[in-house]
Amino acid sequence: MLRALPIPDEDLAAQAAGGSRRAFEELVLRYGGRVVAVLERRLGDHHLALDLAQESWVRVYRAMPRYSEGRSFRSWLFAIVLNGARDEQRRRGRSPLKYVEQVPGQAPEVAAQISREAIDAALSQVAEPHRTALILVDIEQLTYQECAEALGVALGTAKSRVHRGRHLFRAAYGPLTEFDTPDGRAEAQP
Amino acid sequence: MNCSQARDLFAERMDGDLDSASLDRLDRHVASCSACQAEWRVFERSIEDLRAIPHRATSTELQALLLAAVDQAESESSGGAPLPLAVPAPASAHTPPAAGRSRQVATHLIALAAGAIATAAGLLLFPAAAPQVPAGAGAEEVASAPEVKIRYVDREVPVEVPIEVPVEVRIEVPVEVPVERLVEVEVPVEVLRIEYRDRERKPDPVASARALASFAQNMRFVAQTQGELHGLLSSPALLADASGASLPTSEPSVDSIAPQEPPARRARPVARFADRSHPLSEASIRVDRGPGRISISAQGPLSKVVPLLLTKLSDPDPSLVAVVERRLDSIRGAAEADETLAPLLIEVPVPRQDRRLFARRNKETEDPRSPRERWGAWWAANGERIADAGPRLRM
Repeated sequence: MLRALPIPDEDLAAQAAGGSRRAFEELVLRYGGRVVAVLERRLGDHHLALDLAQESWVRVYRAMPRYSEGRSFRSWLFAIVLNGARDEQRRRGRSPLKYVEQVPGQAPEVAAQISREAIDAALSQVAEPHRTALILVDIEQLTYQECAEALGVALGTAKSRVHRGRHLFRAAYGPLTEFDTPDGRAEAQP
Repeated sequence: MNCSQARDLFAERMDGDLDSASLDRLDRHVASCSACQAEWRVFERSIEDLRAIPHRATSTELQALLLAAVDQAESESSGGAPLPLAVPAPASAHTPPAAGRSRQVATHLIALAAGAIATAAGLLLFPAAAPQVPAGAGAEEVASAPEVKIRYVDREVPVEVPIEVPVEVRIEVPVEVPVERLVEVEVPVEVLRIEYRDRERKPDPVASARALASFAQNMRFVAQTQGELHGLLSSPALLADASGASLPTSEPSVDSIAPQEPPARRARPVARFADRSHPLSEASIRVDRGPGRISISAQGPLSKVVPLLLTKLSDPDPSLVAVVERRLDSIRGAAEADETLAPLLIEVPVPRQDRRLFARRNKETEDPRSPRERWGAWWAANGERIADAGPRLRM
């Protein structure tokens, strides 16, 4: 069966830059949820993330005419989104909130059995700037180059942040899982 | 290569980026070291789990919300008037909106909100009818299809509230009461009545409308209003009454509810709800898992309760999803409206002949009955038709 290939993000972005409302709406459809998810993991607050997502898309809409064709739309988009998040954190002058909400009546060990919650709990333990880099590459599946552009850092810096983030994530996530048993863990040998 | 050097390369190995020499040394070490083998398995599994998180999809509601935010910002920056956001009443909420792309997006969102608020808080709006109104054509028109508009405006924009005639507003608030030990009690229906009367001391329509909006977004409160908002009854007292007996569902009675504290003169709920330090400004959710059932209860402003419920909805437990889904559709829009488009104003156009009725009624002061008695009599005669005219308002 023949299936139509989806229009690449960059083509849609070029159309949106040319004033196509429909192309912009399609981009919102593709990335609206993902932007909220990234902000949520970055800021640790759903409501704040939703507010900021709206502001981010306003910025994206206004910046759309300046989008240069050929550039990765994802890196361009997340650069705008993360700039907004940085501004917000600077404005608030406080560190990100703890992401995982404690549900009354639910024991921590029960929550840890839910893999998704465990992942989010572990992610919240990964310090910035490693966490955002990790999210962009391993969850949002940006390339290292796109990640570097989104973060506004050099390629090597982006890679290093991701690699360090993976080690931090593993350290936080392992104890929450059943496959990292004390028996399975072993001290490094010199 | 020692263990520490080997493990430093794990992250790069996940990318397949290692050069062949490094890869070869790493593999040889891991093959000979059981501790590093175990550590590699955990590391690889951890990152695979992380990578397996699906991209979050964009719901239609979220897309509409984001696009509405863009439209709103653009409208403001261009100095234009706020987007026209009036929508038909819940009874006719599916009427296609007016032409214009931006209107479509915004109106779609408001239609969601209007329907959701009406469903969640049990909101019915209809023009006031005097108890002595005969069941003639005018009364029929009022009872069958009141044309209600709900308008959202930006906070910065001064609003002229189009409530120029007396109206009565009835809100049925289903209050879900979680009781300890996994027992869930539902208190079905309570009544809020607001009368705008053309008196010397005219109530502030903006404040009243905002109070109404705030109220509609809080499931756990019941208020009674007469002329001015003078009573706010909190749910704990209501729960105390309801824990052993069922409250009447068909009578618009508030007699069974004792106020928790004497209502302050001219107290305005809007002031209380606007207080962000008020306990209600925080939401909480409780999930109880008992034998054969899961009970979810949430309290707080809808705007905060719903995202919490959404969080629970993403829980892979299907039984949990089933429980939440029943509630979700009815309150999702209300939360989003609150996030983006509050405050909410209510517009109730009244037919010309009814305006004359109201004008006459306002001059009548000789009726010895209390407003509650008048309301009760009117409700006994017309309430059923009114209630049947619109969608049922249970959650």
